Amino acid sequence: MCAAEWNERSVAHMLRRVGFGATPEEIKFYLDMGQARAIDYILNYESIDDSEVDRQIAAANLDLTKTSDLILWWVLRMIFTKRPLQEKMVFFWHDHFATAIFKVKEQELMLQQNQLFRKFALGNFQDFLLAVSQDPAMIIWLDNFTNKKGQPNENYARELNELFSMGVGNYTEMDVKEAARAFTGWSINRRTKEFQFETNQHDFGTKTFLGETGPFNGDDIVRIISGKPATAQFISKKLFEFFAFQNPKQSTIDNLANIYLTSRFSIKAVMQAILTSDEFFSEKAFNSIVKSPTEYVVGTLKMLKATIDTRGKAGDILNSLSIQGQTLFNPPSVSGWDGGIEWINTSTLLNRFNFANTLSSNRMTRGATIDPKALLSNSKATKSKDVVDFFLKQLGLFDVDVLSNKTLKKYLDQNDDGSKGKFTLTDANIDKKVRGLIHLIITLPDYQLN
Amino acid sequence: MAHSRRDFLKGTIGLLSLSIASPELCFQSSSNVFAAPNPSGKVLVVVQLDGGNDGLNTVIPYTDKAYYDARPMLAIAESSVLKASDNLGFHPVMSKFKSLFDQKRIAVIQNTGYPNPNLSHFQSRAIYHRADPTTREEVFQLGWLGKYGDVKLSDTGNPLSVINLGDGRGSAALPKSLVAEKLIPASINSFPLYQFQTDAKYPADRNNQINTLAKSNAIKSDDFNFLYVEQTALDALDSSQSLQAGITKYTPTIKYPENSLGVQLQMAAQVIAGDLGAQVIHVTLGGFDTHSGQKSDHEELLTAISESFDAFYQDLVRLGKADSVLVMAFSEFGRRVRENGSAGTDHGTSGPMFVMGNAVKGGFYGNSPNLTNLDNTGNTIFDIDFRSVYSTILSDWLLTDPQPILGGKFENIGFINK
Repeated sequence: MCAAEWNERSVAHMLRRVGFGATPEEIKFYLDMGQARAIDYILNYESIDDSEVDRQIAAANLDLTKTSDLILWWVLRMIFTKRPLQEKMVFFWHDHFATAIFKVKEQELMLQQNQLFRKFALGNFQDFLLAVSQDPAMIIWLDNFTNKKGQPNENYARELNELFSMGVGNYTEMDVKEAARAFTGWSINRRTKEFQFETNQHDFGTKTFLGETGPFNGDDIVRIISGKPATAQFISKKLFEFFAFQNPKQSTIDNLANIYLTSRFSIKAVMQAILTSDEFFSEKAFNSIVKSPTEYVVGTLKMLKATIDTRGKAGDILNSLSIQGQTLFNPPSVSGWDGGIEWINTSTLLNRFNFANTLSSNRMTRGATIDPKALLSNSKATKSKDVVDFFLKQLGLFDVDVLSNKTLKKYLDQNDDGSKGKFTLTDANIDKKVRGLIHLIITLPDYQLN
Repeated sequence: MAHSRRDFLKGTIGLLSLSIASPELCFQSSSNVFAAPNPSGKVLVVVQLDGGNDGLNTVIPYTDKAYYDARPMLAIAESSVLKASDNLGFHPVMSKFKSLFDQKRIAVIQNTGYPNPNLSHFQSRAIYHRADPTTREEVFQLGWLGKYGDVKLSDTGNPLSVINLGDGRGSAALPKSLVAEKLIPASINSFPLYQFQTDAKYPADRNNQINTLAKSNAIKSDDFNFLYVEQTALDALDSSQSLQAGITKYTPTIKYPENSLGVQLQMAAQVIAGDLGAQVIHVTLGGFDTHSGQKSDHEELLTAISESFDAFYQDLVRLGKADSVLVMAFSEFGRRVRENGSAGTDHGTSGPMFVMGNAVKGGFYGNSPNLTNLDNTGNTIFDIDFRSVYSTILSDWLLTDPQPILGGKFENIGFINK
């Protein structure tokens, strides 16, 4: 078990990674559980009752044939679920098997795919890959429904090899061509929206793929790919880098790849190894990943206990996610979002800051709103220093630089002309300065990182 | 790797200490604070045709039987090709493009590529962005225009010297070509949204907020991500104020087409008209990955190119800037010679690049691809290294030594009037 200290800071770190951040109450819940039990609880989420989230979403009365409501449906799940890892895995797989509504055009199929990701979130990768290869949204997205005997379409075969399993350099162009032949006839029934094998479009001939020869079908291709060491390495590295930190030691990945292969492709086994590793709780991991827009927005709404009135201007949240660079269900391409440091540019950062302002200064009942006074009622903070500390903790920040902390305190105390004043906890100051403070905390460089 | 993460860190720290010397002075001014130096007075606008443009259906070898044999569904009939030479012509929707070509404002560099072509979008795109055929896709490292910026523009301190534009939809993700060591390019997705907003109820508190933001982004750290975020935040504040002050100089009169490229090129014109010191501007038109049902999609894209280039050129003429702007268009690869069974084309290799401007010596450069001598994937074998096009632009337009930027010597193709 891990060497790192089990405290609020490490629990907050864990919950940023396996979920979308956590309120102080949630942090306490996991802290009290102890480290081993908490990780076990997070991994074995099937036993957690998550029916409350369905009730909360039902109350929002969404129309899932609209893309905006579909996104909202998922955002609300991310905020309210009691199974953070399951939802985080769905988010991971959506980026991994990136499929976009701009081409698929049917919300129903995107939802179906999203539920598939939820079902296989920590499942068996071979079964998962097969299910994805037969997923209607994917079949439309990568043109497999037009992949025919004699004149194959390489789109799915290429991305399956390059992006979904092994990575560039582990297969040849001939392997792509042969895999494309094996997937001919894997189509969908447009009426029932289900996978359909079109026998007369399938090439039953012999193919040679990654050194094996036979009258391969898509099943065979998936079977061969799943067991390749390259796949074990590729998936293990991608999971480790998403959950822990970039550029791990090769021995770390070798170990995970070995677990993947010996467990017969269990994602859960790999994830268990990552979450129970010293590396996951190491200083190298803390704050080492740039928050994605979804983590930024969902985490903020969650930690500030925002009220989201979906009848009103919830569209602001969705629009903001999009201009920060991440429209859920609409990744820019099949390789998903570049992510990491590439989330950050002058435009996306301004859009983050402006989301923070929109949220902190929204005094209407519509859209996403916060109640700073209600949040503060949980604390005894009255002085500027304590108010700053309270909101830093509320937003999961345990490592903010002393100078930054002083700057925020100075802001609370400041008069309009910038001169030094003295903050007192009045309703007027909560409406003005505390809202301003919350805006500024969400713009801190620290807060852009996970 | 030529440039490590540590090198970037050093550059970032250097710039950080420069630009935060007195943040309160910097950010309280709402006037145009920058002298907007542009050392050469010249602007390069790079147009990325994202997804792999079908060069064979853009610049059509209408006398080549092999072309027609390979594309029973997709070939453009000779009778409708806009003929530009004895054997080459443009797609029928590109009449405005053809007209610019006829006026010698456009150079077409045929059959560009690189050795051992990679048919992955992501890998090949990275190769074009970094001018390095050995690069790996996923690593955050310097781009060729970023390197140019480091050499020539970082000393200006102008956060608008290198600009990436978006069309207001999406997010204007920074292309890898612009990643620099000593400067943060401005990425601008929408002019109206490119400003730091504060609580409208308390405008008098705005300066306090801006100053707090600036100070909390001036914390010393040895963490790369942290510093990158900080420097980007400070540059965002700077560049947004400068941009908002400068773009008011532009009054639209030329009608641009209402597509993504038209929107972005008009934004480019507005930036150029504002004399904001921009020297490199990057725009992107996506959608070129035409694996199925290519005909109508590709027509739409080529129409966008033709009409947007024309509107942009007319606008530059009107603004008196046509002599000082060069446009270059590239795509990460061309498409397969033989069409697939989905009325589309799979990933290919070499393709044409385009350069437009008053400084261009118009015409065709290089040999057209040989459609009967293909590689083992059924793709064309390149003739001109794409880095020769970059090299020509760097030396003859941006007036800098291409070798340190491209990591080698490349042929000068001579498409620029010196």
